[in-house]
Amino acid sequence: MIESFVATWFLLVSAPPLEVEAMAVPHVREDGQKTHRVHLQLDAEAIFAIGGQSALGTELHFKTRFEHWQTRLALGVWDVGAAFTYQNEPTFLAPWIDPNEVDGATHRTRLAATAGHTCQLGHRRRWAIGAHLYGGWNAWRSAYSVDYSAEDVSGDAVVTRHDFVAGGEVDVGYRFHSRVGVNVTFGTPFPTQSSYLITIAQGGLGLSFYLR
Amino acid sequence: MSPWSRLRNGIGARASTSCPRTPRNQSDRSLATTMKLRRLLGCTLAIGFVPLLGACGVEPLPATGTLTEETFHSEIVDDDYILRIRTPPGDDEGTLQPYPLVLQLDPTFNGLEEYAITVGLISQYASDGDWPEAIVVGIDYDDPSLRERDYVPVEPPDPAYEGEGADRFFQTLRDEIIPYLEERFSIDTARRYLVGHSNGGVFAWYAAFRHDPELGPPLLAGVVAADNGYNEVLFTFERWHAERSDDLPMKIYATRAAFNGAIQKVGFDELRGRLGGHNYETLDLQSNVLETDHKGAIWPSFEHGLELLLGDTP
Repeated sequence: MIESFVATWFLLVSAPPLEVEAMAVPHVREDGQKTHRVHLQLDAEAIFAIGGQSALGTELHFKTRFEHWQTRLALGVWDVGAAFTYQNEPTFLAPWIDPNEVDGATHRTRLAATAGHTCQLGHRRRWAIGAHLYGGWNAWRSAYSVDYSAEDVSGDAVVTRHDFVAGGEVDVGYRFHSRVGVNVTFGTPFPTQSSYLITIAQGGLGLSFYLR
Repeated sequence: MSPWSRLRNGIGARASTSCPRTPRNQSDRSLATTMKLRRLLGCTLAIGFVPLLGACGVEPLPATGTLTEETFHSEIVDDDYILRIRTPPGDDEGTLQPYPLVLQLDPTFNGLEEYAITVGLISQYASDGDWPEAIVVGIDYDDPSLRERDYVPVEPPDPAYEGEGADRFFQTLRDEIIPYLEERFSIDTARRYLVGHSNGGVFAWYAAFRHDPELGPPLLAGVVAADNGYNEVLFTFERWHAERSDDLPMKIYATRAAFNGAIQKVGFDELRGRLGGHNYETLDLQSNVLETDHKGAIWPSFEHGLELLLGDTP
């Protein structure tokens, strides 16, 4: 009897209060209540982009998130962060390029600061619709070798350009686990430079990791 | 040294990315400032309202003279072409004096307005007295995508030049379209020019390499080959020309857009090198690398190219 009482008491004392536990989750609270907790989130996506030609790549977007407003069915979150994007234009996505004659790829790398706002929606605030602006550095590198053996033409070249890039991105996410969700993004840079260098647009599908 | 001097001396004068129009009554510096302001304004509006529009389209300059269009039936191709014809102001019939003939490929393809750009440039430069008046003819189609049928050389290429594609279109130009135009208008046969962009530029190179000294002077006195690709077949035609001729008596203005990247750079540099290596006595080859992309290359290529072709004959 005493042993049972002690065990129950220990559990009650050692377990955090339910409110504290709810506040400590790495995402906005499911009951819709705003906290002052700063959340950390990492979105990792596979992307498809259109630049000079079609490109495949990846984007990592790290966000620091601050809850701001709430309504009965939504909670607003501001975020600032950084995004790293890599795009590759392979020859197999350019059917007009003969892979027997041309070898290489065009690479596009972007490192940008981001800021945005997200609405966490639904009874458990698991849906997220956000919009972000980004601005930063864009590097474009075209590196190919060409071999026209019948005409004795062969050579290789590298062409690079570095530009400031800025743009916007919208994303929709759904959190299906305490620490993991899925997201879809669509972004486009502002047309301050040729799309060959900075792309016309990109779309992505990936996972969101709720770190804190 | 002015941009024009740099071009004539073969030094890479870079054109602006997307707003390359160069009003002639402005200094280069004020011109650059004006273009930057226009570009900044345009891009600001685009950023604010329509991010997907793309950077800063440029309207062609106003056309002078008389613009007409007519259908031309080719027996060789067994198809109709649409001839878009510009005759000089004050000479609707185009017969008062011998005029240079400028043939424009891809006149309306993909909304790029290449014919309108060329007509606008010639209208302005001629009215300023810098270029001679010229008859401009855009060779168009009901379906502009038919350009692929005409401009691209067949592979493997036919040493007798009797294949389809570029072989047949060259024959159509030489034996049907140009004779028809020269019968109808007063054209200086020593000043026929052809302007092409992209695959039109491929055909411009092809037409240049069709020169055969045994057949007389070249069909064309000059071409503008703007931002085209450099496939192996183009080097074959170049080699065939070099094997039968020790000169290429014409003017060629060739450009590439730097943002197309490394593949085009290899071919462009190699072809320029080969032509330079032949030491053709009367070939006037000028080239330029433009700090822009495929679409952005059109205007500066045409403007600088026409300056080469027409600029020394006011």
